[in-house]
Amino acid sequence: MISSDVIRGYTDTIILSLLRNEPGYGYEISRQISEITNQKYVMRETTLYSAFNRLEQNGYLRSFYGTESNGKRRTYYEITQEGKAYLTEKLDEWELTKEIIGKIIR
Amino acid sequence: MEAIKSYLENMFLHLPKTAEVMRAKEELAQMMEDKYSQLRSEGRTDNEAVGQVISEFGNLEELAETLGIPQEVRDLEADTKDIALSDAEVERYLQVSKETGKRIALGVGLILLGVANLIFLNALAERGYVAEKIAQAAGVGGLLLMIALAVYIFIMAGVKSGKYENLETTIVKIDPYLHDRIVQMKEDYRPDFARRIAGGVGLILLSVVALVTVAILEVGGEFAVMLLVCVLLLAIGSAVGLFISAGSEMEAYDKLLNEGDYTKQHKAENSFAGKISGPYWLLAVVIYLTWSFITNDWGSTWIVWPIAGVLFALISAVSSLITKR
Repeated sequence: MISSDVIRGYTDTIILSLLRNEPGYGYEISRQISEITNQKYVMRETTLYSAFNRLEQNGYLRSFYGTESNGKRRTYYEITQEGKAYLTEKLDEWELTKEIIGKIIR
Repeated sequence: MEAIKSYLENMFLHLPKTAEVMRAKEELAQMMEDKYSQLRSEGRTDNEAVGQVISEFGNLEELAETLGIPQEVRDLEADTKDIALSDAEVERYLQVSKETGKRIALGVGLILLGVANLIFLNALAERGYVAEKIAQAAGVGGLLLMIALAVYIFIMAGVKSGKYENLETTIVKIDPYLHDRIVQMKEDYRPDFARRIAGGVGLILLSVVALVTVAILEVGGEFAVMLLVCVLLLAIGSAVGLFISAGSEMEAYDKLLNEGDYTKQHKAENSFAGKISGPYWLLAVVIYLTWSFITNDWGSTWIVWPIAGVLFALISAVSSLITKR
């Protein structure tokens, strides 16, 4: 398990990064995170929804309804141009963070 | 799956129903449902899947910040006064509520029986079947005895239900399964409740109409009127029983569900016919006896009873409407 304090600052970046290439829906993102991290990090539903909400308000994400094969309505999230620009900024910041923190703590 | 829905319902129970909150709830439900289906398709049992989904859900406080409702949530979290009740405690509470209702109804019934007896004896004396002094002594003595008994019953009922007094002022927390069950019980009870209230009001009005008709038409003279007053009092007694038993059961559900008069805002201040009926009828007796002894006009002071009866039916009907929202 990883301390949620450490990861909290990266919630938005993680979500934007997973949505970088194609739109996705809530559980899909959550499942990807669990799978990629081998269940070492499970994002809570409330954390995920709060982030979606915040990112949408900031204009980094846009949501739309899609219909599933079973006829159910589902909310999809798609990254916007602003979102892509913000993600690039955050990725640069992450590289810098890794470099600096890596140099200091060993 | 139902358990997950209940869990979410319960989480959102006390939040304002703004568009934003409703959307959050819908989205969370979707995510939880997806996760549940996924876990099930991986071979997890229903229990395991529900357990994992709920344990990984997170917390409301986190959501609140983005939904613009931090204050309400903080209120909820900070309410350490809230009481949690187990299944068994809820059963016991419902049981005690019904019993308390029956006891108060019995007490009121006894008082009215005492009054009916007094008026009946007076009517007999009027006709010359009994000496007037004896009729009054036996009637008033009997009434006082009934009042003493009723007061004893009221006090004992109060002691028994006093243990649950805090349910009136504090928010009750019960687990989602139980919450659903009580909602169902309340729904099932609703038609019965309406029937009892309507039956009680009908009973009182019918006997008042009979009494007034006889009094206006002057058939059978004062003796018939007095006898009908006795009938009216017995009808009121039965009606009070119906009102109180109906009301106290409904009230118990509302308290457990924090609904009706017992929502978070209203838990502090409320009233109901069941609570006032004891004092109400005692007051009516005081007015009746005082008036009767001062004027010594036992032939017309009985008018207190039809008036008190109609007034009580009115109060009960109105307050039950308010309880039902």
